[in-house]
Amino acid sequence: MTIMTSITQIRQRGLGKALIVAWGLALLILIGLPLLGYLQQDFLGHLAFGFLISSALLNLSIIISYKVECGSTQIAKGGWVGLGVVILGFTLYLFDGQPNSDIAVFLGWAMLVHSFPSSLIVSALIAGISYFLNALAPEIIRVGYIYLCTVWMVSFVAGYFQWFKVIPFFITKLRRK
Amino acid sequence: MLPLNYISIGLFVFMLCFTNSASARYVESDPVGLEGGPNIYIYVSDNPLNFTDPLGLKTYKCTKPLHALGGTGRRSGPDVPGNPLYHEYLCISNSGAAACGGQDRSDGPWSPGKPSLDVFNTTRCDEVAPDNKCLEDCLLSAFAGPRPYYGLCGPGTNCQEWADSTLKKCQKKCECKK
Repeated sequence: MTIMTSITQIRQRGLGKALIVAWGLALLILIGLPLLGYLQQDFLGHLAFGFLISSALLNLSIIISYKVECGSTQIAKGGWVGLGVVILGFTLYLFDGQPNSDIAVFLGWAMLVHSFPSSLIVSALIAGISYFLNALAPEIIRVGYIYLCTVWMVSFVAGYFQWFKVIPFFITKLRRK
Repeated sequence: MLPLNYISIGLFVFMLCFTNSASARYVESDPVGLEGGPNIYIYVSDNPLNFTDPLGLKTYKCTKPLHALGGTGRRSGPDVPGNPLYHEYLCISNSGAAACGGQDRSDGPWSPGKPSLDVFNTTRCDEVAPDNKCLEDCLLSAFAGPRPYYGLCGPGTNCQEWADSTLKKCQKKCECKK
């Protein structure tokens, strides 16, 4: 089934139009905000903020897709995974090698939104581990490519399990009841 | 405009400090400390024709974009509520000099905190309190003090939380003193 056929079917479902609007808005923000930023000489900042808003919209679309079905969950999953990978690429590309690079702050906020709410638990976990490692062996936890990839991977895996394993499990259980 | 009531004794009052008319220098050091320049006894960077200090010190809350993302405004990206991509800090300033303080991190988004290196920029700062010696003293003390553990979210304190909580703490302390 092609994506276009799926979208036609999705439109005819109850919340289908809301789902299409969420995807359309996410795409519009991902394209429109950087263009606006380019005109205001702040391309990267607007693109980064676009990632945050689009992530929130994609998360909303995943929840709606479980109600709509018709292959919409697969499209939402593709979008969510794709945006996650783009966030990692953007972060690694802009990392300047400095230990307190602000790009780690962007990654923190981006993954907080992308994997919300499980990212709150991940943040607390990373904060706890960092606290102990900074006290015991601070050289282990220097910000670098490995650190950035690890933070991304932990947040991404937590978000993936939350959206595509845990939530479907509970939805199936609720439907059976 | 120069206050005239102290001319007869050769001293001008600039709200917080006295200047000697013969030497055109502060008799006591400038309360903004070294942030106003290496000579803390100089008034308005030794350039009274271009700068004045008519109202004394004011407290400002300032922002700047994240250096990795850049930007020309107050934040990286659009300046809208909810956009967290900016650094926030506090400044005590007059028209000639400023002392600023903020929360930075020594390493990643969850690491020991350290004072941030910030500058006063009129286009990125909003006045949050008028001249108030008690508040300014409290903030200067906080600027010089140790920083809490940095935490982007959850445990720890990020720069925005530090600026908000420090200002609130000092405002509360000075309200109680009234």
